[in-house]
Amino acid sequence: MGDLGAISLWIALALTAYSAIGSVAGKLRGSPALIESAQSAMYAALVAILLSTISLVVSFINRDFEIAYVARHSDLAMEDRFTWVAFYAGNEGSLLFIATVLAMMASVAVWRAPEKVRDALPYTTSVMMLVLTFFLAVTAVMANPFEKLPFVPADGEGINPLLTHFGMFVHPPALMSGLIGITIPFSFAIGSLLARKTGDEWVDSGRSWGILTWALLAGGLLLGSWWAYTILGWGGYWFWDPVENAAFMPWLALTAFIHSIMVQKRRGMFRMWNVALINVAFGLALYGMFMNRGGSIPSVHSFGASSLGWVFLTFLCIGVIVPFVIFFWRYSLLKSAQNLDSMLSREAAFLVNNLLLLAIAFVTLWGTVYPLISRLANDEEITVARPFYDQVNGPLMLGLIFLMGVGPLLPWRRANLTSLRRALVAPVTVGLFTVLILAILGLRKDYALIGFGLSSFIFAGILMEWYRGTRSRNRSAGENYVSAFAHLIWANRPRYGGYIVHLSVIMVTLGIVGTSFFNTQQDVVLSPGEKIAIEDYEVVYVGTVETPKGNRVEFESTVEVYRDGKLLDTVFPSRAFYPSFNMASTRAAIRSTPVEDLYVVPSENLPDGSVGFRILVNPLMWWMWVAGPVMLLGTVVALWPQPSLVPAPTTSSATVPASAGTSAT
Amino acid sequence: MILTVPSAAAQSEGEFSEKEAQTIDRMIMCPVCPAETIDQAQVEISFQMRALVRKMLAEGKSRQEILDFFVARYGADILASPPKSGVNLLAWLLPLVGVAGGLAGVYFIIRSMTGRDQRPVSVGSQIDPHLAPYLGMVDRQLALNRPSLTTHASGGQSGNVDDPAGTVKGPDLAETDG
Repeated sequence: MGDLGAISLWIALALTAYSAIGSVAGKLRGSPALIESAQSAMYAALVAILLSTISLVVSFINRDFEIAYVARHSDLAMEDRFTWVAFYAGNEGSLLFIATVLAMMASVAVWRAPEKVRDALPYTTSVMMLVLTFFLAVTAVMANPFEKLPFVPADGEGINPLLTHFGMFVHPPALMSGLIGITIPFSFAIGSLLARKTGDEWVDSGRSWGILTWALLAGGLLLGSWWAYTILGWGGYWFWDPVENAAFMPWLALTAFIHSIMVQKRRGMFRMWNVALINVAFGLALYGMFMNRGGSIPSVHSFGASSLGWVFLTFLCIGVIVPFVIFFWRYSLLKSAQNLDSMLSREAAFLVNNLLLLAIAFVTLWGTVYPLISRLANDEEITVARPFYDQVNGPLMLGLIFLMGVGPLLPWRRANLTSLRRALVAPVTVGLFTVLILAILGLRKDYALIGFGLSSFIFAGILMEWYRGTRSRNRSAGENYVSAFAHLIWANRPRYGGYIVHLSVIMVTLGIVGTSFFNTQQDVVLSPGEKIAIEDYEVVYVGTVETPKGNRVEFESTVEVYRDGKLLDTVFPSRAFYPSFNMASTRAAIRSTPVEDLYVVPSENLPDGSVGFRILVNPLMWWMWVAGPVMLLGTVVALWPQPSLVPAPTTSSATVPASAGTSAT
Repeated sequence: MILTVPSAAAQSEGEFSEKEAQTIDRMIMCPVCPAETIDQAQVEISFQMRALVRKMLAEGKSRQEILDFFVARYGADILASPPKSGVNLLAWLLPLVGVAGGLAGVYFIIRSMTGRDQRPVSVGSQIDPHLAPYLGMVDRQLALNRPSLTTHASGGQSGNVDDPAGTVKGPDLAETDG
């Protein structure tokens, strides 16, 4: 089985290389047959890669320990469903996973490419296939998952206990798919440049794939936070760990991209900027994937130092330099169709939005590399962790949130001050009122006040837009409010999908502000029967059951939660110790309500039956997790295909068709 | 509040704020763990350091004294963020300068772009003559005073057809994104 996998891998490599070269050669020679065959090679490569993937999966299920990768990441005691996680648990498997995802996305992108990008499509295909060839080459040559051991071990090493949590079934695939997925909008941009296109043909594909990968990355980041919260046992959700940052930065660049691409779509502006931006996003994504394998900076995530780091670094340099060379080469084609009319316009707001997002990315990058710089320049190792980012990124994020509230209220081109004031009055009043009420109630922390005030300001702004739109439909079309609202969303999917996503951002903001400024933490050792008071809860430790299992010892504790003398809940935090990994994994018991989380996690199991607990009250944490599905909903709404506007003819003698300029309903 | 900390070496006698102790915990890195503070790390040395922080707080030491104590023993990298002094001030200043520079840059870019005269759009198309009177009505009702609008009747910018004033409220009229 492993042999089939290895052979398929090599075949796929040959096919993608052919596809990359054939697409460009066919275009340059004007040979449609060559282009066609290169495209078929791409689809064939997908089949070969899938075959390779399937054979690795089957090898896991059969526990074929002769294959080194299978022996390293599974054992006889492992439950079958963990095969999915074991697949990408190590370097080799994750590289194959990335290659599979890229092959699938590239195939769909080419298959569903709209007519207007047909001309540039061979170049786009070539770029995607070049990246795929790189990953396949690295996998086949340097990190082959099908490498065999010289003997067949009786049992494997087992899967890392930290990976046995549900979050690990979704977080790494989402992240990896999001990172490699940036290749797709990037390829459309570069393809368009290479094909000497001066217009905005690639924008629709760029936008759709950009939003899709954005959502994948955002989901991956949120899921990673949720996983860290429930399993890492210290009550937090974000480390500013170098590998976390490495995924965060491309996401920020993508967020900037999906906003500024709207300006290009609407007004034909920012043409140069969008190409530069997607180049940056792609470079950051490569950097992200490099960080995972380079091991140059210590992190809880690294797959371990390996020589792969140098190969990735080289590809990263090529992946940044070459696109920018192409960009400058074709620079003159990218003039905007329009000018900026006013500093107070949505276009300008998007520019500031891009600036803030890239500023946060820059600060994150700076914080990640400063330890290296300090070590090289001063021979002094300096750590950059949470306090730095809180103080520097915090205000930037607040500024971004503020812009998120004001931006949608700004019209295109030029804002009329009176109507802008009219639009802002209600939301600003709500925001200030919130701040006032909270201050009166005793809240004094400035950032928290600003955070809550901004959240209510944005929320009010969005509700007002929805209300006004619904009311106007109700008046003009006579629909009742419910169907008016539904039709409103349906007729303007990109816009209203965006609103829904903005709502999810507010929810994340609430979660961050609540837990950052108002959490309470206690570390205690409790013997059976002992209790502790925290906030208005009384937490009673009842006892622990110790259960030795195959590869671990499990300690499940029973804890009762009281408030005002009444039993609210019984929770079961647990801790498992894995002797072979010399590692413990914990499962926090979390009693979650929209108001706050009560978080109980055991950190130590002492021989006399007493347990060291960390108990936290985290206000508003619930909102951050609920934001995930809301964001997903917004993305689906925004991406749902909308019949495109019929473009106005370009010759002045033709008359405008009656359907031009109207929205599809 | 007086707390027991797992594996605490000795119980402190003085009173101190647990909140303050936790804040300090979050400023000190665990020397043996990759990128974790002593607040997060669940290893023996981390517990001991936490106990030490509380002991020093109980003795009346200030936050800076406690941080200096750990820096003296472990080096500057025991702190969770760069010290705001000496060459490490650069770590804090560079982002500030960078962002300020970026904002200034955007400001000047926008200003230079809005300073130029309006370029007529090459994608010219004629306004459907049936629509012209209605556009006129809309303009009059909005009572805007924009010079570019006076050119629209002679087949000007196509951007105006669906967004004449740019400030019309109500998504069904002006906002047809997509």
